[in-house]
Amino acid sequence: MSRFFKMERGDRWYLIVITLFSIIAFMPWTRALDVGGMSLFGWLMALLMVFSPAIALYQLFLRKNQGEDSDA
Amino acid sequence: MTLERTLVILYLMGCIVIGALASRKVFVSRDEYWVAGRRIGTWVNAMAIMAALASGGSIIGVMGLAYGRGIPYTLSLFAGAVIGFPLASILVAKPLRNFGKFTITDFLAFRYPHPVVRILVPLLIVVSFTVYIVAQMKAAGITAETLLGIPYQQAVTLSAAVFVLYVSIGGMLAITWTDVIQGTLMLVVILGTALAMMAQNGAPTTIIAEATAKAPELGQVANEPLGNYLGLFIIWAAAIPVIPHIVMRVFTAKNSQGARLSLNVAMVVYTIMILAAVMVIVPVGKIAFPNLQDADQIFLEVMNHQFPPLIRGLAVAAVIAAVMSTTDALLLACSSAISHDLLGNYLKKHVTEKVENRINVAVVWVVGGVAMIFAYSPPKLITEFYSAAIGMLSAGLFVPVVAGLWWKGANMVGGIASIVAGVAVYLLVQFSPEFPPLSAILYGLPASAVAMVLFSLLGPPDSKELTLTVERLHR
Repeated sequence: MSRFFKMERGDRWYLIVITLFSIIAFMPWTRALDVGGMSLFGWLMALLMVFSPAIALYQLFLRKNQGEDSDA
Repeated sequence: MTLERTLVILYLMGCIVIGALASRKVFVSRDEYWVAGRRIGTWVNAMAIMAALASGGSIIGVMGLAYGRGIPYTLSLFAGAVIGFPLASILVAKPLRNFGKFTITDFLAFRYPHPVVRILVPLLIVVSFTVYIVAQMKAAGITAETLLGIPYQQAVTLSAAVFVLYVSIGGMLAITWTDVIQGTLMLVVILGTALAMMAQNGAPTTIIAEATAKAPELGQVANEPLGNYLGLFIIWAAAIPVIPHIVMRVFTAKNSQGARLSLNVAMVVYTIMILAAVMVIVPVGKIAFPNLQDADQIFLEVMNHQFPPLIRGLAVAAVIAAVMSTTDALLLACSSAISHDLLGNYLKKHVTEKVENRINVAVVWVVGGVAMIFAYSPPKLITEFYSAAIGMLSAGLFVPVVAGLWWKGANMVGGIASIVAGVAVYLLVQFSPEFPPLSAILYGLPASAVAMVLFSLLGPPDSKELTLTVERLHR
């Protein structure tokens, strides 16, 4: 028996991808590289801010269309 | 000045009227006062969540931080906050909404049923939220001082009196209505300013390239230890799922699907606003005003010198709206920590609901008054100041809440140890001069997690009934 309560597969993957992206963004080399006047680290943080809500919303709508996660 | 002052006065009066209208409905029951009857729709809740998070820090502070420490440093903080929303949506929104109580303390006291939880958690909330409220009041004070010419202390007193009044009489319903108006105002002013600047100066990439050519430090990773960057990111990522004024908004949603959706929609709106501020307004401001003494003044200087009185008036109203939309939610969460979490059981047994309502109102006034007195001598760089206070909450509450919802092995001993270890290690590191100031969370969170696992293994397991109840929250 699992020691954890069950999490939706999509949510699990979302957490894994976001965590990996964050780890890569905080690697030392992203702070040294300069792109268009700003360090790559800054651009990666901005990307994270744009894509994380977009993917989360897409997932929620996808799930709603599939009729999962319904509430009383 | 007359036009700007008139706009601000109209706005403040509007907030009081909303509070008065809401007061007719909210004193019917505890549900109505604390969570607006749990019938707030998704889009309204999303705007209210965005406004609650987008504080004076998110307008005055975010731009001050970007101006003073560079864009990458600032984005590490706000990317953390944005990541916090999906974490909240995935990890806590559904089970906490299904739990159906009022506060984060309610959940922790249910999950780890020991009297110390009912005392420790609200105390943590009161301390860290008072710091947060002081920072917001500073933002209101310097804005009114710079753009309206009102002395700082008078501006702090006036704004505090208004939001304390409408929160105390209107509860969560007044907060929701005012937050929607305040969120819209903030969005319009920030986006409008950014669009006007882009029309003059080109796309954000062009603006950043031009600004960093003149002031390279704006685009560089500041000379800060990695611990500070990572600390800021993690403080906010871990705070959003457990921070009481956001969690209370989860409880106001009609259902868990609505709670999840509103958190994610709020995140989109918040991202647009922060990126417009940091990647457009700040670089243009840095070119125009390269040597400001107080970095937090950058937005106000831009508005003062580059926009007409009508827009300046709207900008002041927007900053005050940002301050109020967060502070009202913080005040309600703070007063709920005292009158619901700390005194709730006693009050339910010994006084009528009418007297309890009066105590709620009085507590809001006391908390607002204490914060106002502290705000008369404010700290520098408000965003870092309140981030450190919020870090203490993240360190103490994130692990117990998430483990309590997802790990079947979590139990009362582990929960209490986790709260105590997280806060103790956080404070120890925070006040040790040899550690970077915002890195304490990097030690506090792991300490909290280790304590949770170790002490849960040592302590007696939860009853089957409790485990089944938690399991039902996930359905």
